[in-house]
Amino acid sequence: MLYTNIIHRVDARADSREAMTFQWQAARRLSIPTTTLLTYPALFMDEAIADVEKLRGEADELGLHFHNLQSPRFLERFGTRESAFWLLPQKIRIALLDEMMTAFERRFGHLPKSVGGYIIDAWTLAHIKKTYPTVETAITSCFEEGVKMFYGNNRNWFLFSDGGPWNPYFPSRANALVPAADAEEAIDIVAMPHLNRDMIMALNSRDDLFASHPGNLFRARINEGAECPYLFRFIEAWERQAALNGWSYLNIFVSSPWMSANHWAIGNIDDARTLYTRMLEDLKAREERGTNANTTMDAFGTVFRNRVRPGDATLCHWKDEIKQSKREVVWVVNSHHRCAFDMNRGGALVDFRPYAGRLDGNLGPECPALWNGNYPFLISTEHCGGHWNTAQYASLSNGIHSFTTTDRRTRATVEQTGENAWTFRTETLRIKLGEHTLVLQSTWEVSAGAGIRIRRTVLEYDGDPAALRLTETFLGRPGLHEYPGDLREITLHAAPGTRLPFTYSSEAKKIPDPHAVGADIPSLGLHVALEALTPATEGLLGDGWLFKPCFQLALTYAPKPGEDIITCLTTRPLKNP
Amino acid sequence: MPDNPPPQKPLICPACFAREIDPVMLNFDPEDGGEYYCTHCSYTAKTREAAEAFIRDHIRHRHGIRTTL
Ligand SMILES: [Zn+2]
Repeated sequence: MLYTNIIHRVDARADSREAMTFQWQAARRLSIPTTTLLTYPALFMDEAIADVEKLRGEADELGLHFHNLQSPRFLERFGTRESAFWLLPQKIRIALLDEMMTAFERRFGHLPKSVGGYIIDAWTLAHIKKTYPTVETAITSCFEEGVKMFYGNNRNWFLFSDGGPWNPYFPSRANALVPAADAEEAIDIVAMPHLNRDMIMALNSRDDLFASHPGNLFRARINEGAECPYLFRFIEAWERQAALNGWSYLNIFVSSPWMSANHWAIGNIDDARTLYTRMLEDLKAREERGTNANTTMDAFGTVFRNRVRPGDATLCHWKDEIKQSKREVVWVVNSHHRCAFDMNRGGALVDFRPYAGRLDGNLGPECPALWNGNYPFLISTEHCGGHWNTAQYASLSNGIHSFTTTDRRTRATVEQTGENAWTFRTETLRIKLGEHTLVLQSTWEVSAGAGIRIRRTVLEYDGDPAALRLTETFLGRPGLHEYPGDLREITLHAAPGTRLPFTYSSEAKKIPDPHAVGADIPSLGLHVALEALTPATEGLLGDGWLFKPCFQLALTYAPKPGEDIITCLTTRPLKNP
Repeated sequence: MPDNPPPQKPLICPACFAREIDPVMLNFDPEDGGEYYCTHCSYTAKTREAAEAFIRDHIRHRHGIRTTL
């Protein structure tokens, strides 16, 4: 079942209130319940509250939203021009929360169960739960809004929340972008994303434009007047995810300025409102077909708590809904890591955020991270120069000719094999090695655990199999953005007993019969390893150089046709980093 | 079905080029009659000519400069 959550935001400006009235009436006409979140200026404006009292239905939920704070009252009360809630000094954040909670209770007679912000860090979220235990759900992050949005928004949008989950989850007390491993680690709030995103654009472009947001689709110019078939394919794609996880969540949060005639991104407001209405009609039709439930944040939170426990994993198999090309990506997230496997590059792991270090991600002037809430990557082909510089992939050689899996586009078949367990595999690839032909299949097994099992199977080879070598390569570089840090903190290891400190020497050290090759990454607080579950013939530890600041781990095998070569990619916390 | 890309001069991805990321080359997928695809963005083209036309028609407009020869 898909659970769709229509969310409104009540703002104070007259044009926004007119747009809000349209949104509310459109939902009411179709009996679609909404979550309506009030902003700070609206809470203290009698006309806005009168709108809410007049327009809300019995099934509508009310809550708070921590954006659009700036107003004469805010400046007078708090004396700061900081406009982003997530960057406010902690003392002001608490005082603002208290004032909003008190005002909400005074206006509506109870405290809210649901709140939202563009980013709510772990410190703030834990404070909310402790002080206001009625809060059960919160919108806490903007999936993959970070470096690319900063550039795309003319380098003035200081919202960095790259590296977290796209789906609802129980956030860790250590870092709100990290899913908790268990109930003890979890802040007892169901964290939800601000919007669902196009999961291919999330990798390589502006996923704020390509999201569950008709106004932003106008901004992306993916509409022709009120026509936007992409939006309906997008909804369908999220409905399909339910088959892989047992549930799927769709967060549609169009704040009222986007439905106002004055918005700079909206050409024709009638077209924008027509598309918005058609979207609601589509969601209603899906509900009548029994594949979608239109719900509120609070009601979905209850569904989620009944289905999902802290520590569970989720998977997303996303196909290209923009161009409907062959492109596909498989995303996996659990309490140990978030991964994106790009089928356009033969299933290479192109974005890898291992969470073993449980790094501090709290924001504000008191916090070391200040404004950068991104959870660091160990692999990001987007930020580190394509698959030449970072990725996990395989290559094959017969001693004369070679082939790299990243050079072949493929599709994935995904199968759920158990609770928190999935297998996905590529198509069988026919590969030319000189005049010989080899048939290869790649399979990944993912779960709620730290290990990712990668299986390569040479199904056929018409040359001399004794000459074949298959190499699994991990090219990594820790980072938060494009610029590399000082990688001399890294030490490469091979079991048993070989070490290579990273010194930008470009040295490559070969190891006979390795059990594993790995690296200590102190800034990420973790050790990453490729473990040979099938005996490997040779391992490699590769130092980088300044023009290619990445470390390399590799395991080479002698594959026999019909036999599986199994490698485990895993991470664990680094003791005494 | 041919297996590897045809031996022709590499094509840059016109969509990446349009947002000033280069050189990103197009790969060739022989399936379904053949298609050029970008590994970086989601650009695809059925023919070399289509990719070249994209550059001709659109890229000269970047930076707001309408260059005519
Ligand atoms: Zn491209």
